[in-house]
Amino acid sequence: MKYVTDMKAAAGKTVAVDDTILVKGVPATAGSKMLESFVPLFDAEAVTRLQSAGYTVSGKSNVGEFGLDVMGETSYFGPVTGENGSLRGAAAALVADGDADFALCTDLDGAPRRAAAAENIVFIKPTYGTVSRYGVIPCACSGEQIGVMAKTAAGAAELLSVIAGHDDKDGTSLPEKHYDYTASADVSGLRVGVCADYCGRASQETAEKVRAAAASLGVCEDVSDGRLMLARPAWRILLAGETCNNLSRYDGVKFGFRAEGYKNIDELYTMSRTQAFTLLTKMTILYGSDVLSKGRYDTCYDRSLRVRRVLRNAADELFGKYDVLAMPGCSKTAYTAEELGDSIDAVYAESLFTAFASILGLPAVTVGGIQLVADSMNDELLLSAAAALERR
Amino acid sequence: MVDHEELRKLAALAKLSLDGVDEEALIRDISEILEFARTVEGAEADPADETAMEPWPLREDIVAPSFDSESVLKNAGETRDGYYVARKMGGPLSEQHQ
Amino acid sequence: MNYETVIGLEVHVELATESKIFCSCSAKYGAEQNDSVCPACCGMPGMLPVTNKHVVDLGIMAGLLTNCRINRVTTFDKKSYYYPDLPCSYQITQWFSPICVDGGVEIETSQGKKIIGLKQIHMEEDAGKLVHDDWTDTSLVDFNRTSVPLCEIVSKPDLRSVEEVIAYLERLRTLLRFARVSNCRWEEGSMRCDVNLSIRPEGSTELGVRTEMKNMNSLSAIARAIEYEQARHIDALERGTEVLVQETRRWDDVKGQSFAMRNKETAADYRYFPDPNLVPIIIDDEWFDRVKSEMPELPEVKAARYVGELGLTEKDAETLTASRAMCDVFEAAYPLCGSAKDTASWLIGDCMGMLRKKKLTADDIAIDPVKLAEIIKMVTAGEINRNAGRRVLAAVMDEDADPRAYCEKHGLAAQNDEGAILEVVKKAIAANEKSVQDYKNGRTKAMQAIFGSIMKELRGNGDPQTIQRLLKEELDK
Repeated sequence: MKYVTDMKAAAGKTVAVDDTILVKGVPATAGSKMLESFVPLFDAEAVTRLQSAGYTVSGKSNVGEFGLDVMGETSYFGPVTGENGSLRGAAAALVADGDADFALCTDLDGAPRRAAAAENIVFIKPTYGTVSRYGVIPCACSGEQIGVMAKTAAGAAELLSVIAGHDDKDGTSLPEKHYDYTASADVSGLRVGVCADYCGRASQETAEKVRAAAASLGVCEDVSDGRLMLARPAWRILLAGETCNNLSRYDGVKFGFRAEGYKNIDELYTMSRTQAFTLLTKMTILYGSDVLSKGRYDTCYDRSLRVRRVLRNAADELFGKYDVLAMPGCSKTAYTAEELGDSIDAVYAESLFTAFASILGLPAVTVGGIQLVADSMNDELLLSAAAALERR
Repeated sequence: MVDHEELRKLAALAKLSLDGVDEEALIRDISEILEFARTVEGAEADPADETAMEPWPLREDIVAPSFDSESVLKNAGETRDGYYVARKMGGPLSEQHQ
Repeated sequence: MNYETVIGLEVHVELATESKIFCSCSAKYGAEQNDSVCPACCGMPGMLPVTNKHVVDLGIMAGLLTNCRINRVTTFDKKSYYYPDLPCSYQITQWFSPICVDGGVEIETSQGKKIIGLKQIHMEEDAGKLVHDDWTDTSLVDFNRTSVPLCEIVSKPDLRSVEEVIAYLERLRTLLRFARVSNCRWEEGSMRCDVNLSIRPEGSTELGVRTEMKNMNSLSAIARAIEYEQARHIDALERGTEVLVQETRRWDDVKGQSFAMRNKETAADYRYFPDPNLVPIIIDDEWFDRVKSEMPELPEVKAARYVGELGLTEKDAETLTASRAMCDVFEAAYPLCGSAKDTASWLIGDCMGMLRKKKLTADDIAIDPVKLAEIIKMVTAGEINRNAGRRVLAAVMDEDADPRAYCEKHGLAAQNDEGAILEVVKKAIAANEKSVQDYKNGRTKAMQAIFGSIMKELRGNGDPQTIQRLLKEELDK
């Protein structure tokens, strides 16, 4: 099921909005039984901005529960599968099939990037702080961002320019009021670093695609840096801790799924949460609870905050030498829901490729089935590189 | 390593029931992921430098109209006289936490 | 065996801001249930916390008043636990770097002066209110109070007696009210206190088993709770009535006893971590200096100045300096009318009298000091008499009337012409034969009736002393 809620919109500039992003008066489920009946009282800032600029919301696109999975397979409303049985991300499928011109997606742990790669369309996760998170159902606030799904890089640039910019209602929002990503940056002579560590853990087909793309973009060479392998464990820890905390509010009392037959308040909480969350979500919560606990906070969560700084230094060095880094968006070109199982191991495997950009809030774009990452605030360069790739 | 006892404590803190869940598999999965925490142990980690951050302008102390009570309470499973209903105290939460 | 009681206090005060700490809902007390709420303070997803600048101002001020060191970089952290009055199942507080540390408050008791050390002050958000419905055995939740800004003031275990505890709490209250950090009303819950208490043999330096007590809603309840708990500890140690355990206990003021709540050893693991939505607050020199410049002159310093420089009595100085609002009006008004003593007299006598009649307190005074000074000047100059002055004062306090315009409109100009007064006196004597006879027969009180009719004729504008003098002269002729 691609749309959770279908809204009749005039043709032209239609935008599907992921169900983790709030549209006033329209249920926002986050792909979960817990929020099946939750109706938001206000619009996300990004939604307000796109509507003011003349775009219309065509419906709420299906997502994996809270965006934690590989490609929507854990959604309470069921995964979206293609004719050949392969898994599709709902928003990506809508855009690829022409059912919507664009989609707004929350990128928490790379799901929209993977979904776009599978459909061979474009998704940009912009620099952290450029798009307001007001109206995003929160999981890992230190890294999640609203990004734009589009058929082309130019399309992504167009909508991103509309929604990006400072928002007083988001305390991590960067000061710049307006961004224009539609002008083309000069991408001749681009210096491209190919992340060999990541390529080595993807399928041969994918690794070759990455190298071919990099070569066609400009001067490219392999990069190997041990620090890049720290991104995944550090991000898993931060993501789990923050998500565990942000999901603790769902308890059956104020809104959302409310269990029946409870004897006291403790049972109300426990039964509601146990019945309404999938295994992957519960695992994330338990793991997150552990890394924040008294005995483990220093060695896990606090350590990961410090590793973030180590990674920032690594990024500074890498982007001193290269304009963009090329890497896989995911390990292979197609998945089935069956092979992903309960998603726990699969998510862990796939987040290897997306964690670096997530943990540092770097802009990342999926194009032609591969991923490009640039330094903070270089979204325009990234989109121009993506456009150049499209032309080849 | 996480043992059954710890798992139960975590579940209680997080208000989740482990009924029908394969605890062994859970323990194995969490422990595996915890192993990865060790891979970050070796990294030279600098303490966070907070003064390097740009100060973010804070909010002025001005009241904005609140959302109306009715629409806020509409999402709730059970309400009475404008209050949320949290049925029956009793069980491990009989005390105040403040 | 003689024992020493060791007490530490955790005081929570609600900060005097217009809006809540992380959202723009009103922070005012008394709204209808769930009327001052937004999705954020009801636990709904999607809204982000944005810090109220004035909360930080007041946090800095609280630290300055208590001689703390202000942490120039201060952060907010999340504290997780489940309870129905906590909409997000976490509270945003300060765990890793609170805004103020290492301060001290000087108190004075029958034993002399002493400094009570302060461990820290931190900012945090309040939780909602639970109303228990016994009939249906349910808890009803009101989120109005959620996210109201609090300062938690944590003392070192330096207190040794109920007297010291009361002195400390009253001193904190005075300081915080005077600087407008909080209105510190026990009955409204804008000041709350938890007590940590242990006993040890006199002379020992080791600390005994500590128990924490909650749910004391007034100073007297705190006193009773401490007396009880102290006795319970001593009983346990001397006579083995029970084994003391480190725990939190709930004070029941009706029963006069404390009851165990939970054992602190197995207390919830709060899983503190920094809130990624709230960037660290950086208090630069400009901000710090601005708050420092807004520090009020402390009440005891003011009182000394009123006595020493302005010639007020100690009693009057004490009365005035009990209220910041009164001091503000006093200090603005007396230079304008030129007499500190007169201004004090009008404020303490007449203004406070009028406030008391309306069941208000000195802090509720709301009068334009310029207008007050005007009234005082007019009375001093004899333009209106004191009674008329009181009438104008009431009009100014009730409707912010203009004193001169009001006097003109209501014909309050003093009648100072002795000749004219004498005319009225003579008329009154002529018209009140019986009273005159009574007076001449020795009943001096009969003069009052005649006096009354003269005043009435003069519409209250005669100077009472002049009338009295002339009337007596005429009667005694």
